[in-house]
Amino acid sequence: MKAWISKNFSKYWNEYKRPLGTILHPLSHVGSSIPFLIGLWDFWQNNLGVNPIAEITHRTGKTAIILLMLSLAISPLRLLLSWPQINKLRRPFGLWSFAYATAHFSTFVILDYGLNWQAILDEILHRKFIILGFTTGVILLTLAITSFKIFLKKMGKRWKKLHRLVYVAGILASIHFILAVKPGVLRPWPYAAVMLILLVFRLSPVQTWVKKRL
Amino acid sequence: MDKGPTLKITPEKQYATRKEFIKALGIAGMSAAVLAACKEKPFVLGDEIPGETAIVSDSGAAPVVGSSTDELGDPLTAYDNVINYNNFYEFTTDKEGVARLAKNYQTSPWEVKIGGLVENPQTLSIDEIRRHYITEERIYRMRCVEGWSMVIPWQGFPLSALLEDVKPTSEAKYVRFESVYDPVELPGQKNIFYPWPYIEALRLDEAYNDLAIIATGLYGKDLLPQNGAPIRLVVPWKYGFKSIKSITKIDLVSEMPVSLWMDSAPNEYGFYANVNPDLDHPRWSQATERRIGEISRRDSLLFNGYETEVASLYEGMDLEKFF
Repeated sequence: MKAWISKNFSKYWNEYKRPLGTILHPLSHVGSSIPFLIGLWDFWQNNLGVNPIAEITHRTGKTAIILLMLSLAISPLRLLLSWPQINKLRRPFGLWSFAYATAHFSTFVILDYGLNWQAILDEILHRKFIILGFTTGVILLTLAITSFKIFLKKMGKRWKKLHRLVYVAGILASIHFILAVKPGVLRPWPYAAVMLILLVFRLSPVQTWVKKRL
Repeated sequence: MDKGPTLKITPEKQYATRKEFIKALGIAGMSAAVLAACKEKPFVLGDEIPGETAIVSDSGAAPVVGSSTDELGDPLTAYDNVINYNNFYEFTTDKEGVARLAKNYQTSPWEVKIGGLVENPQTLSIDEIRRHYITEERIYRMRCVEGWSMVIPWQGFPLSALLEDVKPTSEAKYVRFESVYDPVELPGQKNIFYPWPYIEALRLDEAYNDLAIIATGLYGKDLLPQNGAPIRLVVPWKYGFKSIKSITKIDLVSEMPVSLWMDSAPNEYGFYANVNPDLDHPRWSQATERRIGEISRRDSLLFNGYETEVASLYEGMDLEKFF
C-alpha cells in the first residue's frame, strides 16, 4: 500500500514538478507582495494599532526575515525533492526580502526618527542591534545589485562566494531581532531556530550525508 | 506642596481617535515636508480636533477628567490607547494582546497585606482601601523604558498616607511591593525565564515623596485589569516598569530588595530606574521617546520632567552607577 502511494506520488510528481516550478516563479512575486498590500489596506482601515510606527517597523522587519528564509529554503528543497526548476525562485524571494528590509530601514529613518541624522547616526553606531540590522541591509543591498545576470557572468566563481553572504545576513538578522526585544521575550526565537536549521543544512558534511541518502 | 497640575473641572472632552492619527500619518507619510514641519512642532492629539470619540469603556460612558493636559501642557493620551497598549507580562509580552487576555480577570475580592518592619501591620480588602483613602486626580506622564510614553489621569492617593497608617519602624529602609501570583489565570507566569511574582521596590524616602501614589483608577473610572486593577503603584519619574501593577503585598524591609527585572537582566535594569535621557539603556538610546498618538519623537526629560519634585532624593549620587 505504502509503496503504491509512493510509486504513484513520484509518478505524478515527476510529471508535474516542471510546470509547477514554472508557475511558482510569477506566484513568488504575487505572494511576496501580499504583506505589503495587507499593510496598505490596514493603513487605510486604521488598523495598525495604538503605535502604528512601531507596528510598521515590526511588520516590515518580520516579512524581510521570512522572505530571506524562503530564499534560503530553496536550495534544500531543490535537493530533497530533486526539483531543479525552483532554483530560480531564490532571486525573487531575495529581492523582495531586500525590498522589505529597505522599507524597514526607511520606517526607522523617516517615520521614526524624522530624518534627524544626528540621532540616527548615534543609534546606528552605538546600538549593537541596530549595527547588526544595518550590516544585514548592506549585505542584502550588495546581493541585490549583483543579482543581475551581467554580474554573474563577470564575476564567475567569485559570484558564488559573494552570494554565500546571504547566510551571514540570515544569522545577523536573527540576532538583530533577538537583541531588539527585552530578555525573556520569546517572539524572535522561532525565526532564529528556522534560520539555524537552514544554515546547518548547508554545511558540507550535512550536504554529503543528505546526498548519500537520496 | 506642589502637586504639579492644578485641577479645573472642564466639560466632558472628546479625545481624538486613532483614525485622526492614522489620517495625519498618511499625509505625513506621503510628504517629507510635513514631516520636517512635525519635527519643529509635534503634531499632537488635542481636543480641538473634531471627530467621533474612540473611547471604549465597559459602562459605555465617556470618562470625565478634570483637565485635558498635564502641567506642561501635554495633552492626555486617548483612553482607548491607555487601555489597549499595555506592558503586563503576566498576561502576554504582546502589548496589544493584554487587554483581550485580561478582559475577564477577576480582581474582586482582593486583599493587600501590608507588613514587615511596621508597628501596625494590616490586611485590607480593596473595598476597605477604597473607603478609607480618598483619591484625587493626578495627571502624570508615563515613560516606558522601551521608548514610548503616555499622559494618564490617575485616581489615587499618596503612598505616604498608607505608610503613615502602618507606621514603619526605624529599621525600615525600603518598601517592597509584590504583584499577584496566579499562573492559572495569568498565562504569562508560565514563562519560566522570569522569577515570578513581579517584585518592585522603592527607597523609603522615595516612597514618601508626594508624587508617589497608589492608584485605583484612571480617567475617572476603576482600573481595568490590563492597567493593574484593582490597585497599583505610580511613580512617574521612573520608567514604567517600576509602577508595579495588581499589588497583593507591601512589606517594609531593611535591605534593598531585588526586583524581577534586576534579577532577570541585572546589567540592563537597576534598582532606581529613574528616567534619564543622558543614560542609555545598554541596547538602545533613552534620549528620545514617542508619545503615543504623536508622529515625531520628542526629547525625554530628566526624571521625566519631575526634576523639581524629586532631584533632591538623589543629590550627590552618581546616576550612572545607581541606574
